Amino acid sequence: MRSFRSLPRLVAIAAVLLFAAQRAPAQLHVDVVEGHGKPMPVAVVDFFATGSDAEIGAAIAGVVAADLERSGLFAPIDPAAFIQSAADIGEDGRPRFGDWRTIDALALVSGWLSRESDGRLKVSFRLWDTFGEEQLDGYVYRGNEGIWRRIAHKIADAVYERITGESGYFDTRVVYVAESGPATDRSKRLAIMDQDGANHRYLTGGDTLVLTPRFSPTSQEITFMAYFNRTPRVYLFDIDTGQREVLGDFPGMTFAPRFSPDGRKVVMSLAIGGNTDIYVMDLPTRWIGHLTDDPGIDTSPSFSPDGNFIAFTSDRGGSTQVYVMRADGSDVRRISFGEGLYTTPVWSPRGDLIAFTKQHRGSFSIGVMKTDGAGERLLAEGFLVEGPTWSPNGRVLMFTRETPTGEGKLVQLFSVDLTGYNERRVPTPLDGSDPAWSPLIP
Amino acid sequence: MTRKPWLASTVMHAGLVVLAAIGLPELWQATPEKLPAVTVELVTLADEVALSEPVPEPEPEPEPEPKSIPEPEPEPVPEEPARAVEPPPPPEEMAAPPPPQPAPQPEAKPESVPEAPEAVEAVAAPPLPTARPEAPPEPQPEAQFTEVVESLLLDRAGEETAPAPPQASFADVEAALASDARAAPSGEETATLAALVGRQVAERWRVPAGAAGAEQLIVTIEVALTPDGRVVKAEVKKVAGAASGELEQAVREAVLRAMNQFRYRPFRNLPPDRYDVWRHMIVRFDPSRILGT
Repeated sequence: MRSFRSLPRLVAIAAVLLFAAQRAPAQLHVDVVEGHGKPMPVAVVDFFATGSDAEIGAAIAGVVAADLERSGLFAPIDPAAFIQSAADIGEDGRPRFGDWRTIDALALVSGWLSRESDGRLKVSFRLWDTFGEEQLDGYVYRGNEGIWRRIAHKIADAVYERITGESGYFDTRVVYVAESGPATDRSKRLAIMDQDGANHRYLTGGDTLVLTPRFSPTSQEITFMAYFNRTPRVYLFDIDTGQREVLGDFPGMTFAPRFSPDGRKVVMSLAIGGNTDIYVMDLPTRWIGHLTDDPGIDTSPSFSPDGNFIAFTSDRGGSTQVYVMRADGSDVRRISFGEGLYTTPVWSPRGDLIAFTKQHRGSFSIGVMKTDGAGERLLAEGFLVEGPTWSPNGRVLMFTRETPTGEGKLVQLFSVDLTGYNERRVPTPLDGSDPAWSPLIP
Repeated sequence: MTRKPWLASTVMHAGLVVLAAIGLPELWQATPEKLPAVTVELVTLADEVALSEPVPEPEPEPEPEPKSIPEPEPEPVPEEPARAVEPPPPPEEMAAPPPPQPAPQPEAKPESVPEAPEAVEAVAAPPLPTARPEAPPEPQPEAQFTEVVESLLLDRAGEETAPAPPQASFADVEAALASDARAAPSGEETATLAALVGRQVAERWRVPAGAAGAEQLIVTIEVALTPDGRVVKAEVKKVAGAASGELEQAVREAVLRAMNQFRYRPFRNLPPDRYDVWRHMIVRFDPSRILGT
């Protein structure tokens, strides 16, 4: 029987086909509300180089991998598992993506190192998405051999930025107070190092007691406090040029001033006439203005990154708490209401959070809260943790941790990211305290 | 009534074309994933500043390290249609050798970081666009039609690798109709399937923890799967929430990175006889519950 060839039947089939075609796009709707925060597996191959430069190529890969690993967001894969080498990939070649998927690498960093005619290094790298099979980024850097670590940090920053969408923080430095000697005769010197602890050196001798260095958010410039004839003296110090000048002698000062976001002003607390209030100094003119006038002790001021607000601590309400006011001193309001004492507020460079030190029931914490005081989260706790400083991208805090030992105490630098799960010790040759994180090096 | 075999054939082919146009939009439109631009930046680094203790003299100003503005690479040729035509690669959980990778085209070097002319190298050298390799030819209309027929045949339960005949027989069409005529999925069934898929996607989705505003970014993607559970298309349809361009791109890519893993490591335990229910998916990634608001 061949009745299916009849026209009515054909019309019917066509109608059903049309109906089926309308139904075909039926889609399964899936809501994904769970995920994970495990670090992303990434492969960083030794940057290819010939001759003695091969060591530098391997070292660059090592620094890139270490930076990424320390961020807590990446898990570099053991190079022993690699199937393909940088030489095999080639400077202009595509990786065999399957080789990298086999070892579970979601991203691949390949690199190439060569010499310019004047002897400088030329370092290129590419970031690959192994499952998407595409290049995500690629840059070339040139510089003298002595700065290969900075090139590596810049590569790590580029990888971090491309994957996270936020600026990196690896090509930065940290100034801190290096401490040594017994508690009764403690030596405190200013020291500087890369954020990973490399290139460590001292900026001051051991003859003066220095405290609380603060970085300018716009330049490689710091303020710090040193005792001169038993009087706190505040210095302005340009790390790049080494120029140092005195901002003034300030009896009763306990913290060095902090910069305004544009680097043109500093804000500080001064004890004048038995009352400690917040003052602002215009750096070009050295003019000092009064911002608070309250019988309580107002201290630790810190600008918001837009320059419109200042966070500070005050005991005007009976206990030490964090307050926020407008940059002209108006509209003062308390934002911390938890149990315990809140000190050293530091506004995030990202603007969304304020870090603080909290003291409650005999222990200390480093925490963050939103700028209205909501959403308090404690990220690190201990016998004594204090003095948080933000990475320039506002993702990581560095702070001082004191740990009692049998004979005395260990004073060390630690970092913790905003998740609170990635706390690391920052290595220093001696004891270290009062860290100040630089902006990205230009 | 005149019985003409060519008429039946014509009508049936017309039906197939209509089905292709309406029922299989992802193949018809062949919309490629938007591939991000590749940028190259030339940077001259400053010399290291060596500070001596206790910093007696000013050091020379470091050489500035100008950054040039990257230029976008020319839009690459889409790869998606080629994936749809090729058989999916084997799973890689096994120790099997990796799938053959396409060899670089000799005439199109991949993403080469171009040499900068010496004249501009000392200053901020402008970035140069790079060429992207592996330019698969756009599928011809004939090829699309073949894919349509193949996909139609794939609708039949349990049949994964049906060849794409240039002309479908009536029996094929009947079988396809029978497939489409199955009972519509119940709410319980779709909920179960959605939960099954959601759990497997969550295992591969890295939530952008710590990024400012990331908890408000909800990404919705459209996904097409093969009968063996591989993703053959994953395309962002919508990003809700305000964020910087860089963060939004990172969040979109994190979602696609999760889904692209299913190109090579397929979904598990999806019922083959319900392929018509799960072959198209709209997947919505909402991190607000994990990251808090």
